Amino acid sequence: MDTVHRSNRLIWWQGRREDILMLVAIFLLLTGYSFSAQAVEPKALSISTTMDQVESGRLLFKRLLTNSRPIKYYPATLLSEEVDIAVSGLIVTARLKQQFKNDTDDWLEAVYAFPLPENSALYLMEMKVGERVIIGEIKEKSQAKKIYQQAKKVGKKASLVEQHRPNLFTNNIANIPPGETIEIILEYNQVLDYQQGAFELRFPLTTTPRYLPGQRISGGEIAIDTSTGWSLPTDQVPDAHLVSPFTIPLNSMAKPSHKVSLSVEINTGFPVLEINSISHAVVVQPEESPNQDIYNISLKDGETAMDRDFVLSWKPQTGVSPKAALFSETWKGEIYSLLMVMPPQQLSGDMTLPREQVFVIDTSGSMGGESIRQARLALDKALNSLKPSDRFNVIEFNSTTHSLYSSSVPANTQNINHALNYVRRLNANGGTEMASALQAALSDDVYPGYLRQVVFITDGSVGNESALFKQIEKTLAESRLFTIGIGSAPNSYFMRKAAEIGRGSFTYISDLNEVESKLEGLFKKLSAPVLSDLTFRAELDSDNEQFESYPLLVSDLYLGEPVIQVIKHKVQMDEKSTSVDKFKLSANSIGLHHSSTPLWEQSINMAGAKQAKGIATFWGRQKIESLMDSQNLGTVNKDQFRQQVLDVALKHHLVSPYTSLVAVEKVISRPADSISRTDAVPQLLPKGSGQRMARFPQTATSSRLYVLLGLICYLIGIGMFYQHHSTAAFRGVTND
Amino acid sequence: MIKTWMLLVVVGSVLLSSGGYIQVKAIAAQWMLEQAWKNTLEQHALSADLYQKPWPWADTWPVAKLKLGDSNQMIVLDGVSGNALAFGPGRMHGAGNVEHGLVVMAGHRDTHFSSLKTLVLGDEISMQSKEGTWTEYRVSDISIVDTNTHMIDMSVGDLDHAQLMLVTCYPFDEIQSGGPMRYVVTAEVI
Repeated sequence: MDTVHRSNRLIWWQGRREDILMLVAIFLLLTGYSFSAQAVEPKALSISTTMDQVESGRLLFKRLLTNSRPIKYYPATLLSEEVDIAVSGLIVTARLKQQFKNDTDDWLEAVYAFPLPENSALYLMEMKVGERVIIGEIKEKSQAKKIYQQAKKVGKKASLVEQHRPNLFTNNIANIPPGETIEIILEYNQVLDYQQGAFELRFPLTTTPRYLPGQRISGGEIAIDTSTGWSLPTDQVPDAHLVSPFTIPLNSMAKPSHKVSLSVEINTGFPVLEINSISHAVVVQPEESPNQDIYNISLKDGETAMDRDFVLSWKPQTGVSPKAALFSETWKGEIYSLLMVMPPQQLSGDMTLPREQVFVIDTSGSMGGESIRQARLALDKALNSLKPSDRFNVIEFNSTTHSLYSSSVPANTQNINHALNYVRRLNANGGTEMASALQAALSDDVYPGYLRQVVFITDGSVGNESALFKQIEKTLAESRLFTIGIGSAPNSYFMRKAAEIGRGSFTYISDLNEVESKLEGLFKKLSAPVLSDLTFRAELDSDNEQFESYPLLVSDLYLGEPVIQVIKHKVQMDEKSTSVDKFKLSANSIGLHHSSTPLWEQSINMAGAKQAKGIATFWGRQKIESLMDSQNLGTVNKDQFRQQVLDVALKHHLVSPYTSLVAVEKVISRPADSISRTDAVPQLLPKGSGQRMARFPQTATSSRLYVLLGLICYLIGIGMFYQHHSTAAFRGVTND
Repeated sequence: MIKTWMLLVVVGSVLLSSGGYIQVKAIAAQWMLEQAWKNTLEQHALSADLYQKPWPWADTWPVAKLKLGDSNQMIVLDGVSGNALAFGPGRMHGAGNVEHGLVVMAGHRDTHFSSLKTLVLGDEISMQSKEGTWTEYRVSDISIVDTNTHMIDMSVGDLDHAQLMLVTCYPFDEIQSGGPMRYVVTAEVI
């Protein structure tokens, strides 16, 4: 009885509210507040959400400020870096000099965790003590550690470089004498990034604090040196203490440390345009040379703080955009080639492939608030980008999976409007059961004559990556998977790999405000005609030749995206080193058209290859990555796999998950009676937004500026009015 | 000549009204929000997960009520996006648990949070949750920070006392928006 009365009263209240709302709506409309008719949902008066708790956070600056006075950090080790990057063809070779100066009266061991680009192949380390240079050797990881520990113990200067993540390394430097400097020289190479007609070079100088899920592991049996990171090991991240370097804000650094000077030489072999850096002020100087187009780039200020990544981009001059490029290197009697092929930039309109787009949106609790709002905005944009000839479906998942339609429907106005309304009502709630959503998106047959593109919008907060990778590989068939990472701490490793296995691409949105601009590029790419059924094969010179190329999957070719393959081909030692091999990349499908014979083919003759350095190293790095992937997919035996990685890494002198570089000085420096302590060299706090870090919101409007400017205009206007009237009157008199 | 002064008057009027509109919207919205907040508190008894949208197409909703000093009351909205802050101060998204954490709220310095400048150490601030309970805080720190070098750590807090942090732009009398400085008032639970 009471509840009935209560709900009656509620309905009455809601009715009253409607009236008030309409009045306000009219008021807002009159004053220019705009909203689309579709956005009004009179029934959606209440919204359920899991965020019934008042949310909390912690102020980072609290730890650094006492009574508004910043706490100064006095580094024991002063770090400075010199970076020389050479871009030759498609290969980037970087030489880093890390200088560690002991600023104390004690002997020091410096431990420095530092980032490198994700696809970098680190193959050289030299330790420079005074004028002597000790060259680092590649060793199995535990063996290298043992050598280093032994040297450290007896007082020899030594250095050990280890890999913890594809993009995170540590450098240990033992026995730095008081007041002295040890310089470590590192060299790596990578393949230049070329997307949508622009080259991009990124050199990381600091890392954003990683999100480390899991429960803390208590000490237990194994003693863990926790002095190197802010996090203790967790059950999900057992090496958390190694990958969580301390971060210090730039203005807390009491001494000149963490400075870097940078120079880049670009020699791509063709004239380039618009060399610029969005991260730093740079000086660009073209080099006067008769045949080649060489450009030297340096920092305008000479050196800079290591608090943000260095990003440099440029474009090929119109008409010289590379369509295909082949570089070759002979190393240890083997030929290694790097091949880049661009898809044709112009395809006729009827070749545009009709798409069956399946949008999967993560509505789990972790997407709550701003994330779900931005994800809805992204979906809204995606739905509006569909052509009438396309088909689509929307799948929402949290603890359970729900599809808007049982199978995909034509993208007509009615269906799209229905979907738009559905999307607007999505709320974040519950768990992240991704497997059932992937199954719903990938399992049933692709609509005949359509390319299925699954667009997966999530923060990827999953722990069962390996199982999901296997599932994607098994069920993918003709579908393509595109992942979009949203949220403050997305699992980007998972999403990048998932997209790679899904033969699509990964779009990472680090800042929630850039959803719109980032997605525009993706949807443009998705709507362009695509070359599919790609095959990569070689016409080898003789029967007893072999070739091995990576990455293993040749993905679809989208407009403005190149295919990169790195190939090793065995030739007989007694033959001439030049090869007459031919490589063919072909596509049996372009858009709508399928054929048993290639519709598009690009043939590359080895004879035309330009000589370049570093390709063998890069091939080794790609093979290791490929092996790591197959381990993630569980397709190889673990011991066998480890041995394979070891073999490649040792042969190509590469730092890998199982190999490290170690250098030890022959003589003993530290007297037996003096002790050494360990200093964890911090990184600078990144200048932008980071994982779990929030920027301060914008908290002012321009209302006062408007009022002030308005008043000024108004007063001048009135003033002029009066002046005009008095002069008009005066003029009237004289004219008469 | 005639056209110039007319244009200036028109432009002046437009600017005046758009500046005024921001202020009017800020005040009018709070009145609407008050209604929605009443409904939220009322409905909480029926379902713990319900929030009331102040108007049908709103993409934010009231999450708390804030009392600065004795008389200054305002409804706090979900999120700190520009369109939420136009109507009231917003509560920042994050994760964690109110008992051991810190609630972060941001507001415009020229509308709702203009009164932050009058707060001094030791002043009392109260916050009402949608359960209807009031929590009392006392101002323990006032800082001015540079957003170029400082960020808020939104990871689960392990503070001794629950804290409330109010953020607005600084300086208060700056006429232009978009500056890097923030005025941060921190209050500890009593």
